[in-house]
Amino acid sequence: MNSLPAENTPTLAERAPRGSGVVELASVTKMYPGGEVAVRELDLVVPEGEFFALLGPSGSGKTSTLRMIAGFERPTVGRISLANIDVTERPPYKRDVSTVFQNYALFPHMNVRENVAYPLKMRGVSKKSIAARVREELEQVSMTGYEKRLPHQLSGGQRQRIALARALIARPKVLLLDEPLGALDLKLRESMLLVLKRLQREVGITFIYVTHDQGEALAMSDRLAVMNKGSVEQVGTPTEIYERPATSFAAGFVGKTNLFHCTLQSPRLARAEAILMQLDADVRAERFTASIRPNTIVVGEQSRTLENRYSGSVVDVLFLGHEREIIVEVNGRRLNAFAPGPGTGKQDVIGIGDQIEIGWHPSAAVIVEETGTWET
Amino acid sequence: MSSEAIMLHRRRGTRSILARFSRISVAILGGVLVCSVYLFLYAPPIVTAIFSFNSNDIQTLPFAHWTFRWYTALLNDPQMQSAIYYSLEAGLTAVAVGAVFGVAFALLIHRLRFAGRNVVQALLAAPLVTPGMVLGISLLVVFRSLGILPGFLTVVVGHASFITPLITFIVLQRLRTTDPTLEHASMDCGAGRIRTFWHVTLPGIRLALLFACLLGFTLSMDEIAVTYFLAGVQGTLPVYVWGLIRFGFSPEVNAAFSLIGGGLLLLILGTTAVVLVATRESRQSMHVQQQREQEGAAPASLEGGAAAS
Amino acid sequence: MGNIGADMMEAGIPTAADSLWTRLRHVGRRTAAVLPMLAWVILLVLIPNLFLLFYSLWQNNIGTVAHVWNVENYRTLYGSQVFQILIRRTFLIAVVSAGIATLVAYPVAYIVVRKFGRFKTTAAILILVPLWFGYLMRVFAWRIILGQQGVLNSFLNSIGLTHGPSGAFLYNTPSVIMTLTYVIIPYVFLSTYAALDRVPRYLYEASSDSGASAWATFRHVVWPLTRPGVVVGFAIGFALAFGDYITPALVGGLSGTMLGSIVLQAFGTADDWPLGAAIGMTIIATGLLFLALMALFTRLEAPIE
Repeated sequence: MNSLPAENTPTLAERAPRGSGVVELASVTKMYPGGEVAVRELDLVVPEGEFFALLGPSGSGKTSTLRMIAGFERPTVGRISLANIDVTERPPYKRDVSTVFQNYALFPHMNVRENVAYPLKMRGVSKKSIAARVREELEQVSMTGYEKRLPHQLSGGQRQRIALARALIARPKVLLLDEPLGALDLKLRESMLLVLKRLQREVGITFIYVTHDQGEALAMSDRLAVMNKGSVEQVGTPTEIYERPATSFAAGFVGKTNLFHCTLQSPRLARAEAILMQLDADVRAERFTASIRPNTIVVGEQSRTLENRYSGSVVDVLFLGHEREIIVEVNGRRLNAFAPGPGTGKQDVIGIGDQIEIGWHPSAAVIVEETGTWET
Repeated sequence: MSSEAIMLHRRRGTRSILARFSRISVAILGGVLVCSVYLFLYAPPIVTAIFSFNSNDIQTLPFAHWTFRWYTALLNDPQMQSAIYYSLEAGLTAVAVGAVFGVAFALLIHRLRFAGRNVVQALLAAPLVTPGMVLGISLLVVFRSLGILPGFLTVVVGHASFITPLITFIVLQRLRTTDPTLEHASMDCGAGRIRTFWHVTLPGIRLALLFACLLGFTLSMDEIAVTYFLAGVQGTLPVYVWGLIRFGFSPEVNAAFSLIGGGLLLLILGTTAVVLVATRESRQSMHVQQQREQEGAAPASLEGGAAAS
Repeated sequence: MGNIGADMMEAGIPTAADSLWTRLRHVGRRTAAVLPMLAWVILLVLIPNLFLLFYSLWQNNIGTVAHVWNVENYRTLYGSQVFQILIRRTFLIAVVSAGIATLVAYPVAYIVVRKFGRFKTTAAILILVPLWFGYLMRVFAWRIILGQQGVLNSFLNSIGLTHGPSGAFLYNTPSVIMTLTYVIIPYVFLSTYAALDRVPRYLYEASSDSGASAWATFRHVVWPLTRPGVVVGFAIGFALAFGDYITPALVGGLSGTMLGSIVLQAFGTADDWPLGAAIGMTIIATGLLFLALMALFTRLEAPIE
């Protein structure tokens, strides 16, 4: 938990050298006819067998990237390779990649069995083998018995499982999922998350999962890439990204954070507006942005032992069940922090307008590259 | 390279050449097809327009010389003029009838659930899909039995019988896609049924109604199959021109066609332009919303997701 | 979208608890509302067709119609050799015209929908625009083109394929077929374009993603989904052609007559309304038969959401 500047953290590219990933994008840029640049000089290596997420808000280029991997769009510049084979010029039906579409894209005139069998039919597999494989695949997604149903007779969650079965049946090298859980309600989404995770482990192939929901990405992926305005800002495991965000955007988009625009007072002392804070390592830059997660801020008496301690007034309290999120104003600056417990005990009660003490350890501050935040 | 590798490489090479060749030739064939269809569709009217300037009496090439003679003769021909006026009168009357009944029927179908609604709808639409001749003679025999002679009334009835369902279904389609809660909100604000219709419902269908009326009017002006059987001594424009073609010929006909064709075309283009301009704002905001959905915001429903792609 | 209007009218439905008078009044009010539409349909659709049926079963008596019930007209129609040939020719012309129009319109519609991008609506409208030049004009134009000294003849003469004017191109069955095909194409295009446009792009992508080439995608996905539209288009074209009398009158001459030509005579110079009515009924029956076939075809297809 140190606050080394992000430049020193080895990137994924360094850890997984070119040629070892099952999907590789090299300097890929995608520009649309109107001049809009969806993806900007993207370099990405996705290792084999991983559940890999592309996380970003609308317009970050994640969907364009996915479509280029699938082959529905061609990169304006750059190359795409699958298992070390250059597939940039290849149409979708010549790539060993399958897609689960956002709206499932089941063929409305075919029943479940025909939909799932379709990829095998296209590859000329014998009817007998097809029948066996379809049965296997339906069992894997728990949809046995639905063979004769038509798509419009299925619920959203059922359609999605059929879409999954169809995508997996031809055993592609990579499975692409385009925000597949967006149309489902919360409880269904939560159970599908577990289903997908289990499936990926069972089948063992690489899943590339596009989403704007950071909770999903953190919960499901082995590794994820945070995208913003056409570029990848950080690639790492969920823990890495959460605890050591590389950029201000990543810090703010994945989980909540407090961002401070600091000026250096001395190698270990920074000032952000009216707040002075100590850092736990020497910093060279004159100006920098620091990210402090709300869960690293200590609220109450325990903060008195910390180097960085302040007193402020409570502006708002949000009851979250197992804890409370509070917004505190310190020296004119508002911060988010968490107070443990539901605050039912007399001592725990925090009310609006109260004066409280908060603080954090110098190691809580993470220096990030300034790339704006997702609201700007 | 081993011989195997060379074989593989060459086969892959020829396959891709063959593939590219067939792709290009298909593309060329497709292009030729589309171009020739467009040419095919537009050639005859253009030929007619060209011939309207021919000074020859007979429809042949080559031209003796170019002339406006037929246009001037046309515009001075009293029979032609009365035919045009008659067509206009009949057309406007039929459209007026069609508009009143069409809107009423559309509202009824949209609002009221009654037994046999589908049957009535299908029957209402029958004149639209019936061959003109059948429509004409079926109405004619009724009029004959009632002792009504072919004339203005019969023509208007004949036209109204297909213009009304046309207007009904276009307006009905529009009613089905408007937000029903608007009327609810209007009543919530204190407006009664009639006021709600006037201030909320009508403006919503105004554009569709206008378009349907103009469409009906152009159909009426062009109508010959039904009208021939229902017209009396004075004929509509198409009936008059038909007579000219069949029973004597005058090159005025080409000029007449060119004028009619040009006029109708302008009418329909003008209407479309008006409609497009009037709806530009709402289309622009819809476009922006669609763009946002496409960029990956989670669709609110399955339909929303399907629409966004 | 919900039918709030109907719901609101439903809200005032009297229940069994209300008095008989209230319930009667409600039924009365609702009937009164529907009455105009019922009257319209009865007067302008049911009765005319009924009368047409009656006329076809009555006797012609030198200009007046004798209300003697008989099936002579039908016997004449289906018994005589001449009429047999005529019906067969009309059927042939209608099927061939509608067929060629469909064979042309479908690929063009496919290309416009898939390859024209932003311009597809404009391109589609441009195909429909000729409809507004007027039906009569579009048929008449072919007389100019196919005529003895018409455009086609002059063109063929000038490039040396023929010598002198030829009457071979006009006033026969092929010229009727050519003209009717020309008239029908935009209508068939409209139907097939609508059907093709409804196939969402993501279905093409899903098919390609599953390993299907462009042809396989067409065969297994696009064609099954657009088949109903093609059938409807063909049926519309057929109906237009089968009942036409203008085209054979203008470009058919003596060897290109159709059923419609006889109706024209029957209600005109020949003054035999019952016979004309019988032919009218034949045309209606054929149309309904086609409608039934069409409905059978399209009901077997699944909806696209």
